[in-house]
Amino acid sequence: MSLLRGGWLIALSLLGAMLLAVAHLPGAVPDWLRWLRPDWAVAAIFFWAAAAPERSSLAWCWFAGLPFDALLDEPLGLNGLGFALAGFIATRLHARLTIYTLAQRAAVVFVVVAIVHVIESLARTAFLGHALSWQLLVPAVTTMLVYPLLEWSLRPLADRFVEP
Amino acid sequence: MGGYRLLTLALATIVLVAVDANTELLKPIRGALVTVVAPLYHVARFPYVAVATVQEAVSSRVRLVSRNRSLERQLLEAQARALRYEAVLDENDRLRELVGSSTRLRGDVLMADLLAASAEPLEVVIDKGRLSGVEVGQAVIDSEGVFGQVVATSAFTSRVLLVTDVTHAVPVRVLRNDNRAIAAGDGNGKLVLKDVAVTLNIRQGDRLVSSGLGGRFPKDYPVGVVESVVRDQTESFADIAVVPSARLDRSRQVLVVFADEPAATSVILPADADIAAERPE
Repeated sequence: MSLLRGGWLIALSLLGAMLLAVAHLPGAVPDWLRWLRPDWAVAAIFFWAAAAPERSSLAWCWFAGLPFDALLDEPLGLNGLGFALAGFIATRLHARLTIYTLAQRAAVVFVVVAIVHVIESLARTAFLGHALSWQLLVPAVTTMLVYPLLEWSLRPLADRFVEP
Repeated sequence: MGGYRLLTLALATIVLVAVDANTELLKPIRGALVTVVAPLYHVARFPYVAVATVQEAVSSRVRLVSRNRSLERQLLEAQARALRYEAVLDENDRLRELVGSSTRLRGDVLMADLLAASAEPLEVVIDKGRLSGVEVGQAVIDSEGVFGQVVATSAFTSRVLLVTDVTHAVPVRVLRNDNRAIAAGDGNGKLVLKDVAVTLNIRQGDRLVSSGLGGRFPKDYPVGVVESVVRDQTESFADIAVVPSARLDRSRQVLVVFADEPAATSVILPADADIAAERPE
């Protein structure tokens, strides 16, 4: 049933986010460039939770994180926590987000991605012993910059196919 | 209300992540998930494969012929070199027999394509997995030198930790004078030599090869070249930076090494026991 109400579009956009999470640029890529990769997944979850808050239960957001964990070789559940957090913030702010301008929404995306990455990095530090660094905030900036692209491409489709 | 649900999910995640990070319980689930999502690595790589295929299809016959000729010439040269290599290998074996040592490592290799890369930790995904016989702990090299080691496998893919990751270390030997050391990754595309006394004879430009101690990496593969040596006489240890030989950021194909004799270093002296601990956890 959810498929008929546009769930396929949500699933497809998350699949796209997964591709963008592992896609790489041609040729030699310096290491620092990898830090610039926007977090398309959190941006997409944020968009859908704001566009269809009744459809985006936190449990669904969390389960959507499992394939990302497998794809990026992270502890199971880590991405799900970030997604659930992004979904929670987006559903909480959803009334406000609808009257915000695109630029304001992009600014909120910056904050959301920053919070998600800080929490995920803390978990990685606690459980895997990875080092914390300021670089973890770089994706928040790039995600904010690319977020309008995501809205321009998904908004018309969402209005047409997805029942809120 | 949503707040309580988020809290529940957060607690569940903490438990799950702790279990996954510290035990093997979730390994089958992760394995199944990775096998399901593995095709995405191939899809993400498809544009490059497509471009290469089209280039091949449209390159002119003349160019193909000339390329074929040059490849044939290269093959001949390589074969000649391989013949010499065989002779040297035989001679080496004879000499080893003479001195009564039987340690030898002659491995088969498996060629693998890189599918994806990640920055934290420094890892790459290759397109050969358990079904091709790849196992955790195998050494991975490229055409220039030691590349890394396999840290996780799924049915069709494996993850390879690069030598430059901070959690990675290779036992090495200085080619010039056989001094031994451990080359650890610095997480920034270089290696550092750990715990080398300031008095050790080592200088810029020295070439380092794998020592084979620990038995994980094959012997005598290039690991890197010493870039700088900083000796502060008030310290006990020197700061030695090493540029890795492997083309870590450019290689598209790597070789997974299958050791004939996994326990190639048959004798590990007590003094070397800590060197044998290849990957500090």
